[in-house]
Amino acid sequence: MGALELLWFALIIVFAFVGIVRGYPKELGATTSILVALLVLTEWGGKILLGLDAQLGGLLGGSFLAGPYSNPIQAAFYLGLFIAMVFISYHGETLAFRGDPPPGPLGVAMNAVNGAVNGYLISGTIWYYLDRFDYPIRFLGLFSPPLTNLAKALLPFLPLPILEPYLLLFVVFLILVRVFR
Amino acid sequence: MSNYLPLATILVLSALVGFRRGVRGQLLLTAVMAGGWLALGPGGSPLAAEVEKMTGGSIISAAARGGYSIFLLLVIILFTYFLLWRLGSPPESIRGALIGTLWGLANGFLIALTVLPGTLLPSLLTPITVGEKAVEAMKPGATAPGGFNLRPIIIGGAFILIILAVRAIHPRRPDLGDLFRE
Repeated sequence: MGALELLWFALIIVFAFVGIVRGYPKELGATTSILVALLVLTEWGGKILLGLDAQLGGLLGGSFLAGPYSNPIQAAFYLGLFIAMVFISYHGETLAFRGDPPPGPLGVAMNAVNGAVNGYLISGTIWYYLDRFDYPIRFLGLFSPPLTNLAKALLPFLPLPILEPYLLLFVVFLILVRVFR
Repeated sequence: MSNYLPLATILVLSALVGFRRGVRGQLLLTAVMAGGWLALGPGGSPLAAEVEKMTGGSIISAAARGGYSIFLLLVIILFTYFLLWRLGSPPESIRGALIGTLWGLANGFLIALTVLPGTLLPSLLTPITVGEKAVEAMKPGATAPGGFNLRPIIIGGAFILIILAVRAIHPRRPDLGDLFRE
């Protein structure tokens, strides 16, 4: 497997093409749903996980968060929840804005940019949780640390470190813009 | 950084109203704010006087009286915003909308200065010692001395881009199937 940052850039480009095909009014709806997913994960993810641990710990005979598989389990929880929410946001109309993008190159560029932003949010969040839980995919042979210098430099620019204080503001703003456009 | 969230919210919402209702509406809002501030200066609120009369005047501190004045002023500003949003007319051109946005930002700043003075002018409220300043600088995410945090500006730029992108969405045309059905 090559460098992680190359995969990240490749995914952003793939999502830019998805944006061109779908159009940015739909992509903006997906952006809203992704931001809601990030808000849920950052605000309540830890609490849900602790609740599950308290409930299931009794059945399993011990806390799974304190066990040797804590990191893979936590990564699977956060990534599973996030990917499920992203799947829902791309499936059907959900919060899509009604209408069509402007015709011509401007519309295509706006579609591509919004698609790339969604790619940055999705693949960046997946990378963030993999890094936070020490890359549990390494046992699958998909990736093994150490990170390259470029990847280390990119880590502070992933979506969650930048957007976390503003997530609620973004979500409220996008919903307001959709209602009062 | 999260201390700036209320400030950013006020600025963005005010700019949004300015964009939608243009410069005239924002001018009206500035006049309402100025008049409201003159009428309801700290300690001069009729609501505070009434509450003081009802409670015997002993439990309301000077700071609380100032709080009532600010609360009443905030209610008036919010009501004006609501009327402007519902009844105001849209700007005639994109230039009017952009000037309205800038004026809206300025109004938002004035509102924040009234409601959140601690966020905008912390040094006026709490004198910071050299030791406290050093502790602040060591907190994660603190800006380096002499540095400038670009994040709020980037976030603000993203908001403006989103507004422009949403304004550029064309209404959907009915397809041929819909026409035949009608």
